[in-house]
Amino acid sequence: MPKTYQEINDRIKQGSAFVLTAEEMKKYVEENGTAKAAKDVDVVTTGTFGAMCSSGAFLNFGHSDPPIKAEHVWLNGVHAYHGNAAADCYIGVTRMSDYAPFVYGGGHVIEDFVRGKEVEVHANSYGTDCYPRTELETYLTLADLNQAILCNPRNGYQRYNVAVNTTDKTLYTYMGKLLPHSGNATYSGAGCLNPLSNDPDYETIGLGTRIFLGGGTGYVIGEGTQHSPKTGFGTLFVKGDLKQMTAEFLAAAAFTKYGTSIYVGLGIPIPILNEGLAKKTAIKDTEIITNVLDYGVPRRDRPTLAKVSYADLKSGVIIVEGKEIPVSSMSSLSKARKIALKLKEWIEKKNFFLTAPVETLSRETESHPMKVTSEIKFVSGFMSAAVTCTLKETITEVANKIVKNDQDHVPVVDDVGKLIGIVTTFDLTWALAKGKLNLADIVTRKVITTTPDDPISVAARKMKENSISALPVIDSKNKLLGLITSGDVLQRGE
Amino acid sequence: MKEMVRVVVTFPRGAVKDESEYTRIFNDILNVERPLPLIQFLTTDLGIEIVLELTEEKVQHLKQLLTDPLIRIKSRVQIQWDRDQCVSCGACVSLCNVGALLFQKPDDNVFYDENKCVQCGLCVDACPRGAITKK
Repeated sequence: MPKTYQEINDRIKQGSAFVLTAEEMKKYVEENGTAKAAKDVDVVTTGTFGAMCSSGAFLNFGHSDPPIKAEHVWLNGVHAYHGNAAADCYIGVTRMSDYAPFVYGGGHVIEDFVRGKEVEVHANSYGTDCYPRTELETYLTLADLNQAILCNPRNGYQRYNVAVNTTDKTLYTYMGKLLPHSGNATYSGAGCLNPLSNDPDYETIGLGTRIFLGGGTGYVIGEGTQHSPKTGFGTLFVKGDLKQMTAEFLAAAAFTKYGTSIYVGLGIPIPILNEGLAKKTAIKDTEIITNVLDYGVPRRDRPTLAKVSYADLKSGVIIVEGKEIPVSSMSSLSKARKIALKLKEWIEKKNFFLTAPVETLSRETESHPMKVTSEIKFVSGFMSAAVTCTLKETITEVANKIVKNDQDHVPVVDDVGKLIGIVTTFDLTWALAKGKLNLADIVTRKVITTTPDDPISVAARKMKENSISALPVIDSKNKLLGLITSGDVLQRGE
Repeated sequence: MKEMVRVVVTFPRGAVKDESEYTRIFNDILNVERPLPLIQFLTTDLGIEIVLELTEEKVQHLKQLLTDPLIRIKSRVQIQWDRDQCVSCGACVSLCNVGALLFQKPDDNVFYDENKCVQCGLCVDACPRGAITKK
C-alpha cells in the first residue's frame, strides 16, 4: 500500500513515524526485504557536507540615516556585489578579501555572521537626491540584519569526480592538494548518504521540498545549475535562513592557491511512499560509480584514468593503472552522517514535517559545456623553428648560434632529435663567470616543455609559474618540434 | 640515553630513486655499518625527503658531509592540530604517509595522532580550515 505525505506527517505528529538514516536503511532492507521496509519505514534521512563554491548570501541592512544607495560594499574587507537595491547586497563565498586573499573570503564573512561576530561594513556611493549619503562605516551582527538568506544554486551533486595528478608537480586545486605522480587522490560526496543518490529519479525532491540546510531549515527551490540528470549529475538549488544556521554545519574554507569557499551541510528527508523508494534508498556505496580524472591535464575534458565505487573511495585506497593510491575526501562523511541523524531526530521530535514538491525536477536536461565564440589559440599556431645544438658542440659554437640567430634559448637534442636539455643566454653568461668550458656542465636537463596542442594560456601559465621565457615544443615521444617564447605569446597570443 | 632530534634531508628530484638506494648513499656518506634510523621517506615535488632521527652530534656530522647546496637539511617543524577548527573533511588524510591523520571509526571523524606524526608538514597547506599549523 503506497503511503501519502499526509499519512507520514500525521505519524510524525503522533510521534509514531519510523525514521532511518540512509545508512541504517540499507541494513533494514537487507534484513527485512523491500516490501516490509516500504511498509515499516516512513522517512529515510540523507546528508552531505561539501565545499559549495556556488554559494552566497543575500543580506538586507535596513536604511541608515541619512540613507545611502551603496555603490560598493565591503564586509570585513571582502567586496560584496552591490548591483541590487540601496540597502541590499550579495556576498559570494569565493570572493576573497582585498587584504588577506586566499585566507579570508566571503565564506568566512558568512561564518563570522553565523558565529554571532561583528562584521565591519564599509560602503560608498555617488549620492543621489533620495540617497544623499556617500560614505558609511559600521559594525553589524547577524541579528542586526533584516534578512540574511543563504543561497546555494548548486548542491547535492549526485556524485563527483575523483582527482589525481600525474604530472611531476604538486597541484593545488579545488579538489585539494594533489601530489605529483598520482601520490594521492581526493573525492567529494557522501556516497550512499547523498540525497540524490537515494532519490535518483527525483520522485520526492523538487521545488518546495523542506530540507536541513546549514543547521536550520531550508527549501529546495528548483533544479540546480548544471543540473544534468541524463549523465547522472543532478544538482539542487537550495536556500535557507542564515539566522537559523550554525557554524557546525556551515563552515568557511580556504584552499591554498585556489581560493575561498564554504562547506554547506545539506540534509534531505525522503518519504518512503512506495516500495520503489524503499529499494532506491537501500543503495550501497558499491553501486555508486564515479570516474578518476587526471587533474594534471589543465583542460575541461580531463582524461578518465579509472572507474571506482564510493566503497573503494571510503576504503582509503584506490587502484589506478595498477598503482595503489591513498584517497580521502574533500567533503566530510562524519558531518554528512551527523546531518542525517540530526534530521532524523528533528522528525522524531516532531520539529520537522515533510512537504510534497509543488514541481518535480527535470529528468531530461543535460548540462552543456560553454560555447566560446572566440577561437582557442594553440601552441601549434605560435611556435617557431628552434635553433638547436648537441652536446658535442662547444660553448663557443653555441654562443655563435645564439648571436647569429638572435635567439635566447637553444634546445639541446640527441642524435635522433629528442630533447635532452636547454641552454640559454643566461647559462652562457654563467659559464663565463664561473670559467666553465664544457657545454655539458651548463645545460639545464630538467626542461619545462609544451606540446603543439596545448592551448596558449596553458603554455603561458607554465612560463609564469616557472619564471621562464620559453618552452621547447615536443611530441609525445619527446622529439623536439620547435620553440615558443613569451614574446610569441605576448605579440600574437593572449 | 642521548636526546634524538628529527631532521629532514631533501634530495633534489632525480638524485635518489628509491629507499634502498638512499640507505646505501647515506651509509656510504656516514660510513656506518648499521642503517640510520629512518623514520620516513616521502616523495614531494621538491624531490625526495627523508626524515631521520639522530643525535645532535650525528646531525652536525651530516651537515659537514652533505655539502651539495641542493641537498637541504633542516629541523622538523612542529605540527599543531586544532580540533575545534577541523570539520573532518579529510583533505589532509590522503597526504599523510604515516597514518597520523586518519578517519577514526566508527564516526569517521578526522583524528591527529601526534605520536605517529613525523612532522613532514605536507598537510599544513592542504587544510581548508587552517586547523593544521606549524609552530
